[in-house]
Amino acid sequence: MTGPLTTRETAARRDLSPAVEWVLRIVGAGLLAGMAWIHLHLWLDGYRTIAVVGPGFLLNTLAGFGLAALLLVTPRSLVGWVALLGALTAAGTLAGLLLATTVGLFGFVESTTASLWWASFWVEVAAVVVLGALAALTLRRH
Amino acid sequence: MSRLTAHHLPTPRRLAGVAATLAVAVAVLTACGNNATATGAGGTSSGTTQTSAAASGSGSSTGKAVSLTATEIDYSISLDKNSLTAGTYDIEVVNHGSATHDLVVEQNGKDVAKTDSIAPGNSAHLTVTLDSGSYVFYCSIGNHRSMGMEMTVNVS
Repeated sequence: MTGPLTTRETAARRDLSPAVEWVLRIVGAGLLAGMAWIHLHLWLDGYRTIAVVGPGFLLNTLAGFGLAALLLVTPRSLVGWVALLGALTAAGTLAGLLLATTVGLFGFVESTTASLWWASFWVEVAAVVVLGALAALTLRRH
Repeated sequence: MSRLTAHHLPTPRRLAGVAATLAVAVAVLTACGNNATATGAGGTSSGTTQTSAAASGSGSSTGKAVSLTATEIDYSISLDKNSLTAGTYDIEVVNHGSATHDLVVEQNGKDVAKTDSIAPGNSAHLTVTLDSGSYVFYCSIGNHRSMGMEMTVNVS
């Protein structure tokens, strides 16, 4: 007859399995890389000439590719923090996209009919969800 | 104080001479003024009078710019005149799109005039002198040019 579960045993049961964690890592890294690729493509395609927004696209490219790589190589004990950083980066990028499309951002107004607008929107939403989930599930261990 | 005597009064012949001199002077100054205006406007074109320019939608070579409207939407540019002749144009650029746009006039790969960025629903004015030849009107914002916001404008 088994006794009541200890706190440690309960936490272990809620703990993310390594396989699921790796799936979330890979998907999250792919989404961050996708976000970075979109911004690099647009930067090369002419957005680099837009004041503030252009350099922002390049910064987003560097951050996206960098965090994607870091997410794949970071040890398990730190993956939650990297995932959280990735989720915040994607959320900030999404906020920038929505601000630019509504009230404008640094004098630049974007249209939803712009190239890759919807791709950018969905990739960033998915990145927030996946990386947010990975961060929440792994940071509970601490 | 001197008094005006009869021999100081101008005779009809003198009056006619003075009037003729003034008429010639005015004619010369007017001609010079017209030349200065045309040069100041950067107009190197010639041959089109202002009246015929306005009637045909062609540019003015007399210094007074002819109105031209460029309408921008996401992502194309259109003009309200089908053909242009050399001269000075005051282009009203109207942004009817939902994104920021601008208008750049390019000739032989070099930008010759451009507006500032134009927010959706706003407009801007651009005065430019177009010589005979081929120009490209395009939007320099982001990748709007490659998305279709460019048009070739032939000036006769």
